[in-house]
Amino acid sequence: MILFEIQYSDLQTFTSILIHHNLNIKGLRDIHVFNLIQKLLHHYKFHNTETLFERLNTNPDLIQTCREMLCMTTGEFFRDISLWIQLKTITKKLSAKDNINILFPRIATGEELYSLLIFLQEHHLLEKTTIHATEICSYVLEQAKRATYALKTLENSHKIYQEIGFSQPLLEYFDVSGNVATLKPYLTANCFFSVQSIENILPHSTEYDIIWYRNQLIYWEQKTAEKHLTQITQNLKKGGYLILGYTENLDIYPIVSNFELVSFEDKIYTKK
Amino acid sequence: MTLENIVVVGGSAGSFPIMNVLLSQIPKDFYPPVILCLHRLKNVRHGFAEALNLRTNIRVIEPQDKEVIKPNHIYLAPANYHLLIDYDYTFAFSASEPVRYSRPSIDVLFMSAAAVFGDKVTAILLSGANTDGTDGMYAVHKKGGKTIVQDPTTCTVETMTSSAIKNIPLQHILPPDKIIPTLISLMPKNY
Repeated sequence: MILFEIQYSDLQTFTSILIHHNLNIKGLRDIHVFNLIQKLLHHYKFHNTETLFERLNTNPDLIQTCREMLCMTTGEFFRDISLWIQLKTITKKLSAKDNINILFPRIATGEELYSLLIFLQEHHLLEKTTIHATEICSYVLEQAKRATYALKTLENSHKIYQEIGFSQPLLEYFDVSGNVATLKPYLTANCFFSVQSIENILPHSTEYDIIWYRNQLIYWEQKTAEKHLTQITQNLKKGGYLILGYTENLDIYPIVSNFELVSFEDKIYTKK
Repeated sequence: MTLENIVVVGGSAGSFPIMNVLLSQIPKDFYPPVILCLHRLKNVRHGFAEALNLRTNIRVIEPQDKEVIKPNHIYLAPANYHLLIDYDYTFAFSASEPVRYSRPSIDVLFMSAAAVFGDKVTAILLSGANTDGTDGMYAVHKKGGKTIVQDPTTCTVETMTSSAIKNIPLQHILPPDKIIPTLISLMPKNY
C-alpha cells in the first residue's frame, strides 16, 4: 500500500505547470486536483510530487495523460432511471418543434450520449434532432465516436432499460460481433463531434433546445461553474431545457433566477 | 461554528443493521459531523436515508454538491457517486470509475477526509464483503487520525474489516456496542 504525501501547496504548483502546458485546469476543485495528482503518481509509479512535476515539464506524454484522466467520468447506459422516465414528460413539447438542437459537452466514454440518441429514436424525435457533442481530448473523443462497448456492459444495462419502458430491446440498436457491440451508425447520423477547450464549453453560437450538462459542475469551483452556466444560459433558447446531475443544484448559483424547475429530483430546468 | 473534528464511517454487506444501532447511540448533541459511506444499489436513490432515520437522534441527509459540512449533522453518500470532502469544508462529488467495484467508495471518502482534516479524522469501518476501506483507513492512520474497526468476529461478512486489520496497525477493534462509547471518549471534551 502506497500513500503519497501531497501538500496543499502541491495543488497550486501542479495547476501552474498544467496551465503552462496549455491545459487550463484553473477552477478545478482542490480535491479533484489532489485526486488527479494521486492518480498520476500511481499510474507512473513516481515516489513523490517533485518527480511528477519535473517529468510534467519535460515529457509531453504526461500532459496528454492528464488530459485523458480529466475525461474519465465513467458513463453508464441510462444512468438514473427516474431521469429518463421524467424526460418522457418533455417529449410532447419537443415533438411540436420542427427541429431540435442539443448540446452535449464532455461526452467522456459516450454511454450517456448514446442513451440519449436511443431515447430520441424511441420517441420518434431523432430524425429532426441535431446534436453537438464535445470532449476536451481528441483521443477520448475518437474512442467515444467508435461507440463500441463490451456486450456485458449492455446486458447489465438491459434491466434498467426495460424498467424505463422502451419498445425495442436495447441490443436492437447495436451490431453485435463476438463479445462487443457497436451502436448502429444511423443513430449518430445527425451527431457532430468536436474537441472543445476546457474553458469554452460551446463549440458554436447556435441556440440550443437542450443542453445536457450532467455531472460536470461537480468538478468545478463555484466561480468557474458559474462561468459555465453563464455560457449555457446565453445559448439556451427560451423554454429550452438544462439537464444537470442529481447531486448538482442550480439554487446555489445567482443564475438560477433565469430558470424554472421542471424536476428537482432529476435536476431538469427550463429557461424563462 | 468551527469544524475541528470529523467522523467518517464505511460499511458494506452486513453493515446496515449495525449502522442502525450505532446511529441510535449517537447523542443528539454530538457536535462533529458524521459522514456515512455505505455500499448501496446504484439505481435505488430512495429509502436508504429514510431507513437509517428510523432510529437516529440526528436526521441523516444526503448532501448536494458544494454543500457546507456542518457540525451536529449526519450525512450519507448518495447512490452512484463518490462523495469527497474538499479543502474548503464543503462536499464534492465525482462520477469517476468505481473503486474496488464500489461507487460510493469508502477509500475515496476516507482519503479525502485524511487529506483535508489530517489528524482530526476518526474513521470507523464496519462489516463488508470487499476490501474497500483499507486504503482509506491507512490514509487516516498515516495522517495521525483515529481508527476504529468492528471486531471481525461480530461481522456478518468479515472481509472488509479483516483486510484493514491485516494491513494497518489499527487503534481500536471493537464489538458494535462499544463503538459509539469509544468514539465519544475519543472526542475532545464538549466535542
